[in-house]
Amino acid sequence: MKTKITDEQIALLIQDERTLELGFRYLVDTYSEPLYHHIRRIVLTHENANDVLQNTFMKAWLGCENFEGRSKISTWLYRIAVNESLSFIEKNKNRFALDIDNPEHGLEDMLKSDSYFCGDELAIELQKAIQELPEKQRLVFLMKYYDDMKYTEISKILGTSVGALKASYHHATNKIEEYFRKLD
Amino acid sequence: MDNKNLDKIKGENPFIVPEDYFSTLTDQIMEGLPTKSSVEESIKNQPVSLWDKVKPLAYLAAIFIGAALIVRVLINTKTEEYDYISQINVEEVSDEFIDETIEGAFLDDYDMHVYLTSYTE
Repeated sequence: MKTKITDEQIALLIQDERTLELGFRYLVDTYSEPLYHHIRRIVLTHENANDVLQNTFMKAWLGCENFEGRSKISTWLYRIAVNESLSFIEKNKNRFALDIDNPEHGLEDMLKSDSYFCGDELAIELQKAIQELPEKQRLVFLMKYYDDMKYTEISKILGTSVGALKASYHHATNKIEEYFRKLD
Repeated sequence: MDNKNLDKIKGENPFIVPEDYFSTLTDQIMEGLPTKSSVEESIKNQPVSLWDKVKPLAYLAAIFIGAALIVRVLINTKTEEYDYISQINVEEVSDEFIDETIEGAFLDDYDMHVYLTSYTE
């Protein structure tokens, strides 16, 4: 059973060299699962998500001396996770481009070949529709639609104004609705 | 289709994980982290490139070169002003102006004679 500990307590622990490791263990324990799901929706397969999650915590570990508690721990971690996910896609651009754009090895095959994906045809179509969104709209959509994050929180993570985020989410939902209308 | 329908599509989370993945994840991540002392050590032991060594000298040299250029530009400006004045053609100056200048300089005929002879010599 996980020990309940607040973000403020974790922040205090990781800012002290003597309690850094204990604090970081609480941090990993608290955030590994929500971060994993967030990363997984961006990079899609379990293997990719596991790699990006490890990199995210490695970056957080190496940079935790610089965490001054001015932003929330969750904001700080999500920001690292998003950046790491996008870097991962950029580094493996060829693989992702081949997987998504090539009809023979498309997104559908990528998801079906992942033994840890159990979605039906509708779920696959939804993932296809999400992947067709521009990067910013995709990220906002994932954070709002799946995690139901507040716009103010997303704004801090992505460094974009709340107004622009609302517009992005609106465009994203319209595009996904349009995608499904075309399917009908 | 409205947002209610989008919610219906969402359905169950299709992204599953291996059994016991999350229960062992914390230990697995913590084991993979380098110790802080090893990170500091690796930073200390990082090879210093030649450019890193000469960078301060290069910056210092750039400052001196910049300062020298500024000084040179300023001196050149002054020289140009001097050249401009010295290049005024005396023949173009009117006789009236020369007469007035000589009178104003309190030169008598003897002084003028000495000046002109020394000039021609």
